[in-house]
Amino acid sequence: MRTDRRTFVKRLALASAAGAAASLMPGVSFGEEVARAIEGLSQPVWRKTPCRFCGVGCGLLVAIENGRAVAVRGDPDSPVNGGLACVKGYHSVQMLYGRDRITRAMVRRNGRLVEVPMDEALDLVAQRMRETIERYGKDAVAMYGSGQWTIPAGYVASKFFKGGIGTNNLEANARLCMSSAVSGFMTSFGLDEPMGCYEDIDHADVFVLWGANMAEMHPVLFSRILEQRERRRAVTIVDLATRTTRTSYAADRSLIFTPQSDLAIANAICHEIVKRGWVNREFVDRYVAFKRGKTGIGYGLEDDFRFTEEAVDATWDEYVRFLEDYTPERVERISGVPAREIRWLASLYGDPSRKVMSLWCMGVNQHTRGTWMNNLIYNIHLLTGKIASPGNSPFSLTGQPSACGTVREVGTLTNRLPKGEVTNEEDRRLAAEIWGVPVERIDPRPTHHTVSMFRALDRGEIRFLWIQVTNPMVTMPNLNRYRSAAQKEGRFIVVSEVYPTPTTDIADVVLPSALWIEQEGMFGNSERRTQHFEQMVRPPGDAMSDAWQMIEVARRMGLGELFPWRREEHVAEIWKEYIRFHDTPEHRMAPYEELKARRGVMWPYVDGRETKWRYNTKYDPAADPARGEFDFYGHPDHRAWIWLRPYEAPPEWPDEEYPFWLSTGRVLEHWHTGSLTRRIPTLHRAVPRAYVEINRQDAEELGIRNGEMVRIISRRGSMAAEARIDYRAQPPRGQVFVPFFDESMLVNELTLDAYCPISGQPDYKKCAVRIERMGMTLGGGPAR
Amino acid sequence: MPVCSYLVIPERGATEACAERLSALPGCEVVRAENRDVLLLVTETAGPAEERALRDALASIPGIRSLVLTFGELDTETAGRPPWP
Ligand code: SF4
Repeated sequence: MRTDRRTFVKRLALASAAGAAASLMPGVSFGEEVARAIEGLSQPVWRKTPCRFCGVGCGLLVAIENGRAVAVRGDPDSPVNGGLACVKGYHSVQMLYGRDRITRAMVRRNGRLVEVPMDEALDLVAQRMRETIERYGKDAVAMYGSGQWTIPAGYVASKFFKGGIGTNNLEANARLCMSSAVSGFMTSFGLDEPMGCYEDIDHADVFVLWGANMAEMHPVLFSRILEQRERRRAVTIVDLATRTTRTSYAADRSLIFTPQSDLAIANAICHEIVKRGWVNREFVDRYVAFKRGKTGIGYGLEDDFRFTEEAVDATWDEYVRFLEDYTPERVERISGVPAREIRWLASLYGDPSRKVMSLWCMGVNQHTRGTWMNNLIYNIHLLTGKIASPGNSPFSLTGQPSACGTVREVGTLTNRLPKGEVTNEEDRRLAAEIWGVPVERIDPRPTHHTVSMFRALDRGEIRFLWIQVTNPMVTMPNLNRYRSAAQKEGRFIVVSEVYPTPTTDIADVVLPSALWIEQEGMFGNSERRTQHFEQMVRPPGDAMSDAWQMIEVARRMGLGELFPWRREEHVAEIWKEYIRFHDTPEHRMAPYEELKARRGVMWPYVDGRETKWRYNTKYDPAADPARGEFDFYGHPDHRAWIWLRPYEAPPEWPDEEYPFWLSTGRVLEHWHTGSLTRRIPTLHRAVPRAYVEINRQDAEELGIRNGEMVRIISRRGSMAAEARIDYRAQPPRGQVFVPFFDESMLVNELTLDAYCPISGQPDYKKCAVRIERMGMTLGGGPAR
Repeated sequence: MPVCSYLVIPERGATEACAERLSALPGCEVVRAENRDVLLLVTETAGPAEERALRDALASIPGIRSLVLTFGELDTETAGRPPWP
């Protein structure tokens, strides 16, 4: 029977809803009529892919019709989302078809970008790179990529820059969102990425969200948590945050703390666990070591700032003495969280009968003590032995679709290689062997993390910068400095992009990129799951994948022998080469064919089995059962490390002149800088521009009404925005919040480029501002 | 002609009333589960403005505990770089 297109689409819609219902409520039935309506919706119409947006990594099915992507639904067979998706995922294919898609290469001539043939643009990029290296040396060229790079693109970047050119000037925007998580894992466990997985949600009784507005930022995972609360009465959700959000309203308890005092709260929880005898002594004695690091470590505000961490052995007694400073009463004074609430929180972690999952993302990572905060959350789980087993899980969430898969696993950071560190000779030798280059070509010295890289561009040490899949002219903190740096005489900026952005505005060359399913690729999500997607539609015009752009330029620079692959099969070939780096039980990855066939595969993947809980000898093939129930094999002593990390104040604090804290972040509807989601009408209409959330009482004192324009001013810059009072979230008194998705309201002109000295990750959550009335509304009319 | 579908979880005891209210909205088709208190809603509207109005109407219907979008068909029009205010 033939059906018209409308009927067909409506049947698809019905099938999606029925699929979502079935995944939430197994056994639900909608009767014969629905079954008949969705019967025969043929398989080949839909192709699987991970979502292009956040790090949850939902599986989506995309319908292709006449060469266009026409519809999306959550993949009912995906273990991540079981058929659900959020509003971004459901509208995601529309991002492919924005009116102003970049389809041709452009070169700046007489101040204007003019279209040129792709080959001419690629020739120019190669020529300028070569000239810059000849004149200023290899460390004068740099690549700045992204956690939205596909894994093959990240791999090509690493091989090209580290193995080909021989510079470690390779960074990615994940430095701005995940590097504190990485250094937290490395210092506590010696290996990156979570020990648990999303399945922990199905087992945990308590969910403590540390500064994570999951209802908006990780909505599908948050639905999974809420679903557990529906099913199991014992489930408790605690939102520990600096402002009241949709997550707070959905939680069982919302605790609001003063910015930066999470350091003190975590130590106070440990203080209580020790004092009340809730320590799992057997676990601690067998699997934990204590370490002390440097303190008073600075904030990286100076260009010549340098920091090296040192781990010094500490004892249990020293740790207990260290915790004495963190009584709940003292921490109440620092944090504003009542001592009884801190005790209650400690009792949840301390109760041996309850399984606890801690979840966090930018609130903890974008922090001048981000590494410490990660360590402190692990300390709680290690003290109580609630780790690496189903439902007991400290879980670091990611923001980008492949922050883990590409940046962290491929190692597209200055200090990293696809396996290990550039400073490690064995790791360099492995890379040289797999890449077929002399080991001497791989430089053992890391150069610049992201903030430092843009400072080097400002000083003129970096002269050529290639930016792919990211928008630093919106996202760099203290943006005014780094925008001027990029526009200085003698700098050459190449930007690979899909739409015009403030970053393409300052480019000398713009290369049109393929987006998401216009190319084949893989992403790796927060739970160590690598997901493959095939090319489903053709990229528009001359657009080309980021990976292939780099290969074309590398060939023009005489480095073609590093990239001998044919275009049709380069992704498969790259994967086969890349997984040689991880061919050990701790990180073995699935073969290409299996990735293609399955809904993602979690590594370590050994003997055809995924590893859901690392370090647990029952589940992890790399963990040695002779060591007991657990084996924290990342450190040479096979122990996880509890760190003595104190509370230290932030570099900037509200004062008389700048009396408010400013925090920045995202909203549900927009992905990062909005360059994709603002081209999707439904999402753009839902939140068309940025705003500043102000506490009602603060607004009343300043005479500010809802919807009135205000100016927010920091020591570095200012911006105007509409005031929002009692909007979707409410900051407490003395704080304001501005989302960063709006390129016309650049909140990062105000933020401070202070960073965690261990991870190099900037703090976007705390700086001091003042607010002034503008006496007008957005349209220019008087404020009433 | 945007087509969307939703999974609707009504508040306890409100399934029937929710189904009636939703069915009364223009462009809405409702399917009730046989064995659970859950509804499927398929919507079809004339264009983006109507779709937006319908979403506002859905948000104000009493008795709905959760309304989850499960499908969104492509709008034919997509936006360019948003205008600066
Ligand atoms: S939760 Fe994240 S991965 Fe899932 S659909 Fe939404 S944006 Fe995509």
